[in-house]
Amino acid sequence: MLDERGAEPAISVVIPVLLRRAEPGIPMLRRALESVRDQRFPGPMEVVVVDDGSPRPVAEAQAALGPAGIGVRFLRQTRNMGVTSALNAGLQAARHPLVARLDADDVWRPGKIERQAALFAADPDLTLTATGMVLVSPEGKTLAEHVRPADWEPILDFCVDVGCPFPHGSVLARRDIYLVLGGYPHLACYETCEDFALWSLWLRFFKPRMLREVLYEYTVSPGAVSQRHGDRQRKASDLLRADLRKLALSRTAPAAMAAFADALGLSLVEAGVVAWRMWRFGLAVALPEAAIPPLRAAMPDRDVEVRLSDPAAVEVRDVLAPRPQAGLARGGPIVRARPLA
Amino acid sequence: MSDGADVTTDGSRGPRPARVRHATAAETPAVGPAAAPERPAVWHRFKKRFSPLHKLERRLSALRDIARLKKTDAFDPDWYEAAYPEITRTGLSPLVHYVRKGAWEGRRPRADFDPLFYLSMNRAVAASGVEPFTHYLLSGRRTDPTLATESRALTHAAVRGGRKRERGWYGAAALTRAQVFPGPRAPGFAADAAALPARTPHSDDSGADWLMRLGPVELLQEHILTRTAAPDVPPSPPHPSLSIVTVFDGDRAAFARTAGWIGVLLAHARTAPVPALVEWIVVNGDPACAVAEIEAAFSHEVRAATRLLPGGAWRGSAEGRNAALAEARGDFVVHLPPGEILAPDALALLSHYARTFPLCRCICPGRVELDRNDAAIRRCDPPLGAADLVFQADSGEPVAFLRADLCAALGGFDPRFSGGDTYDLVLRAASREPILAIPEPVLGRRAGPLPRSEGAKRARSARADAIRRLVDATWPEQRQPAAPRAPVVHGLCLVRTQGRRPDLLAEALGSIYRQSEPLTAAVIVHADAATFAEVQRTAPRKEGRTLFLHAPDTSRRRGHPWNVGLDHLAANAQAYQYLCLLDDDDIYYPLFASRMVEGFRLTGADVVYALVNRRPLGGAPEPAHMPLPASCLVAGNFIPTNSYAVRTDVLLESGVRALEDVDYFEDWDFLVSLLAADCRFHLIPEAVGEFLLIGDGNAPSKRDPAHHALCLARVQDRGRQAAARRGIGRFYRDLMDFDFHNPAIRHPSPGGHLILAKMQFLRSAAAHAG
Repeated sequence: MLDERGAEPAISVVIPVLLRRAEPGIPMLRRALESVRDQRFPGPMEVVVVDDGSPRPVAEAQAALGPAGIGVRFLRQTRNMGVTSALNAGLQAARHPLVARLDADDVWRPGKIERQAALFAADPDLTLTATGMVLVSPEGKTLAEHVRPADWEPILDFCVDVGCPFPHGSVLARRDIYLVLGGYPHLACYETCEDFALWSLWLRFFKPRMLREVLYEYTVSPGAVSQRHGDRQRKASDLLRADLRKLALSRTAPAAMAAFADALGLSLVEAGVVAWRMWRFGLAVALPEAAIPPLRAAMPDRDVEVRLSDPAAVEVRDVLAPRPQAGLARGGPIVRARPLA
Repeated sequence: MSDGADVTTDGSRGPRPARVRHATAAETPAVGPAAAPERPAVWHRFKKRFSPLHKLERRLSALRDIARLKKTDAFDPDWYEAAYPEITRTGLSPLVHYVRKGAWEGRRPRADFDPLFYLSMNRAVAASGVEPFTHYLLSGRRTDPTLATESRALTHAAVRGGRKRERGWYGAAALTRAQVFPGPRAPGFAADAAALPARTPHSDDSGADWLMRLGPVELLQEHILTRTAAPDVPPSPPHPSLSIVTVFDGDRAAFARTAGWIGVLLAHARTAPVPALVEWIVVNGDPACAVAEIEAAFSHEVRAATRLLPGGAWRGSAEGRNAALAEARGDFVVHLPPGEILAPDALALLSHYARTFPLCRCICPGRVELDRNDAAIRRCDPPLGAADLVFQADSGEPVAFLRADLCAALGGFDPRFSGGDTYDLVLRAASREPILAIPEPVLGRRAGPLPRSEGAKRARSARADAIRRLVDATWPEQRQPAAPRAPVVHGLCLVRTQGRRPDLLAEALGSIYRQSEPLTAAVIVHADAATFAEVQRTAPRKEGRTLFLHAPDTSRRRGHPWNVGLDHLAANAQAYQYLCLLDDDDIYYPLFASRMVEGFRLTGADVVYALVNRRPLGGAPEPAHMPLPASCLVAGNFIPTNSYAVRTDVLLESGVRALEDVDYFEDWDFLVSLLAADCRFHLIPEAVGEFLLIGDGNAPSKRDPAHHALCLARVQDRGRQAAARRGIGRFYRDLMDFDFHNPAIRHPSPGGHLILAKMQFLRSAAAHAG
């Protein structure tokens, strides 16, 4: 994915941080930042550290972060609001079209960003990449490795069969898609599972790819969310998996989105935005006939209704426009995705 | 607690020695006093203090109502279970479920009685807690069927002689003995079906169908019951020909069974006094299967009567059936899925009923479930009556013999409802002209896994679509196409504070300044001048994004600062395209403004609302109020202050102001006023902010219960006005447009609020009509 000047993509790295104590928090953050600094970024990059209400502002310890801390932007939330809020604040503040995420106690292995950027360069339809991960103890001992399926359909299967498909600290994804989807969901029922909740929506409409190499080290520490709130996380994850299972999307979504894009004459990403907004907002949109069957296939949880007219209908380009306005459709069957009865 | 039915170990019901029929209002015997016994005031005070007593009274009342209903025979457990198959999951018998839960959940005891409508028309009954159907039957009101349901056609159908289910029906009338097929049935699986047990309805969908409980079901029922045959419909030929259409889906064994029985049917047809023409049209829906493989299942006789069409990957889909319909040459068409079989005398039955009802173009027979030897083990009856067709979406796809010209007029099977498209077709036929349901089963289906919930889901969508079209026709939207409006860009956020919580105010303001879309904070200090000055001095500001307003009159209540803000908005309307509200102990999440703006831009709504979390001090966020359709605001508030935004132009045009003389309901009143001003609300099911749980939420009512009650009454009155202004059509539209299945919402129990809201609309409509 090139930026509008055709230059290499620019990347923002968002690191949410809650440092309850300077030790071992600062050294680990330094280690994380060094692993970022050691990456080969194809284009401009920035690091945004979102301080989620640490007792002492993390920015005060910038000097202790060493050379890797130079140039880092610090955002501070005066009260601990939780990782979802921190992530969304980071997304909001990020300046570049691709956003990578890392936790303050984790590490990237050399070559991670370079390899992921290459995937984006090779496939303009790609919206998200992630990599394999290794779980390590705080002492650095390898505990387990996880490498998940590469392609869209098996990734969807993984979501249903196992759970969250992307090690969150390995994700590099398009910022515009994050914002189209409303960022990480704040719903309390998804607390501790906000990333899986987001991917559950993302993967319905937008193409992912996994790098099947271990390029991300996740430190298993007692303070980690998955350790402190394991039961709650599992419960939320099980709910998401059950919802996805009902939809049976791995058989339909990728092919349906490709067919939808073809019928509209749009890129896969643009088609995903149209489909998502129709699904989320119940828009009435003038569509070509050929677009209706794949749209139905992509939304088994919607009644895709077709009418000859609708005063609230818009054209496809108005759905995509940065500031679309309702009520501008001039022709074609009008299609609306309604909730099922 | 059992209602006396025989239940076999496989869940089906044993044969009833005497058919339960619906007693009409006129013939139901009185069995005793209908109202709850009068109790002294001290009892009620005692009960209020000790909730177990309240529970005990309710339980005793339920037992009494169950006993009474059993004696009347007016409650039909078979109908109730067929209409609400999900109740089997509760383990309660239909009668017990209805009295203890169903009546209060908006479920009907039978097609021609709407408990909510009855309660709306009888406030005293609603207040007494007596179960409405019992009250209706046992009080003097049973002679007035207009109180039972809004649908006059339903009451007429009930009064005309009930529903003699065993004989079938045509349009709104039960069949007479002379009209029913005289028999005998041909030997085969359907011959002795009348003696078989009925299939127990089942639904594996645990979701509540709020449309069926609270939607205008009687509208569709009334529509169906009042259809008459179009004057230009030609009569059917006395010996109609039949096209059987099947889409081969790759299951060779199932297809071979079907082919075998087609052969039996053809052989029987040749013995008829007047030979009937039958053709079988098979569409190959499996691209991997060669034509020769399909033909291998045919006997010589079947091959001669079969046309095999090439197809696509249409496994069981409506497109495949439509392709077959396009080729059909018979007078009538029936869809026969692979694996299912037609009774050998299907043609004889078709001929009889085509001659008896020459203008009838849709005939729905029953079907039976078969064991592995194709012996019938259970029957599945057609809809119990024309009005009951609406409640049959979960009963599996019906069988239907459709006249070819009707199929063409209806446009064939609708792919939108694949899996439930036969039900959709029958419903559309019934919405156009009278249809015929005959008691004789004609189709056999192997007993096996329960009906796929996907098919039932599609059938329910078809039903919702039919109801929606009627709602649009009955209460057409008055709106003109939206004129182009100014794009929504810049918002004004009124931040209400008394200046006592500067740290929380700072957080609230910080959450506004972090928004990426332009949002100006108007800090409205409802306090004296000194406090106002202090807030101005200490509150964090952002260049060009902060202003301070003073609401100095502290004798006025919480709505006063909002009105100060509204005055500022009115004076600066060009600068701000939307307004939102925040108390100083609330915050917005980072993407609040962008979601609100996107909601306005994409949907054209006047008010965009979302969800918020609540957070106990020092705790984790929790779900707060669960959203509901906007019309439900007439009955209670579920939209927290910091969860919505309203367009400036609409707000100022409406003249809506906040009440300044009420405690803690000014927020609800504000929203109800927007509703009354005909604003269009749109829900974004995302959490966009949170509020802190500070103090005792019940404090106002404890501090001054009289004032609290007065405030409540005022807002409820505003709710009634809003209901009257909007009309029940809007309630139904909001209900139908609401995504109750959204997993992000997971409302634990919306029923009470929905019911109260509907009753508000019904009462307002009745008051308006009166």
